[in-house]
Amino acid sequence: MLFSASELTLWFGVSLLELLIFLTCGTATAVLVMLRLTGALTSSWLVLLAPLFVSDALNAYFCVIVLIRMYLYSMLRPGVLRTMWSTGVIALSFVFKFLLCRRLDDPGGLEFSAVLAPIFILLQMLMIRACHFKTGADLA
Amino acid sequence: MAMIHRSLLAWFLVLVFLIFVGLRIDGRTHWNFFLVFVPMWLYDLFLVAFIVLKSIGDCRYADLGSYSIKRIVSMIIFRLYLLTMTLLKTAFCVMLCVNLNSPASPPISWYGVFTPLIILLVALSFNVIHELVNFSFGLNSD
Repeated sequence: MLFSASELTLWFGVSLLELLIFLTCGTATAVLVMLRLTGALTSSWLVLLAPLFVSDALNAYFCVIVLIRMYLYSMLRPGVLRTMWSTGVIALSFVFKFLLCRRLDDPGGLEFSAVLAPIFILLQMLMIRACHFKTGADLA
Repeated sequence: MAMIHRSLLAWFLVLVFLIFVGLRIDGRTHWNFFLVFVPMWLYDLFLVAFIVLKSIGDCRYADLGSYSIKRIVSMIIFRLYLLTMTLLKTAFCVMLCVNLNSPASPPISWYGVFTPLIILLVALSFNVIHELVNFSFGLNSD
């Protein structure tokens, strides 16, 4: 697409394994949502989006493992910075998904702009990260 | 096109798209969903232009005799793969817009709408697995 996998990992500050976990869980969620929309499933949206919550949990576990490994290799500072970034991303995406579930289960409850608020914060963080790339750098 | 330009372009289009979606779902506008998805159509347009320009660049180098036949074939397959992924994304967005415009009686089956998205996600997963294997075994991903 517009970015290679290595460029995406650089921009989002995630590893290839985290990207793979997210894509796999996203596929499972797409299948569940499709079944729900066709009427084959009648579960609540919290159950349907469960694969995405599992993805967050696995990514958080992976981050802790990476922090411990980096600490053991005497790379505490980059390890802490990476963990802080990943924790922020995971927390914001978790809040978005939770609010989305609330909104889908009770359409009159929350405004969709409020549901999207964590994603807007995440986008600002990604923009600041993108501005750190060098102008001449082209990894494609 | 440098990484910073591509990332800021994608960031801006996603931001505008999310603002449009938020306004439309909250009922502050009553736009057609094809209008709400304009940033996505622009993104697809940039993707196709990017792939075509890269292919032209590759053809120029291949014409100069810089690349082997094997490399040229693998490049063509890769560009076709990228184009297919873009078309799958566009097909999903178009069918989603059609169904969202008439929520009471969706004209297209939801199975049909989600099939391109699922194929796209599975293909991207295999792509990432390929990159992961190359990275793990220290192979060149060219």
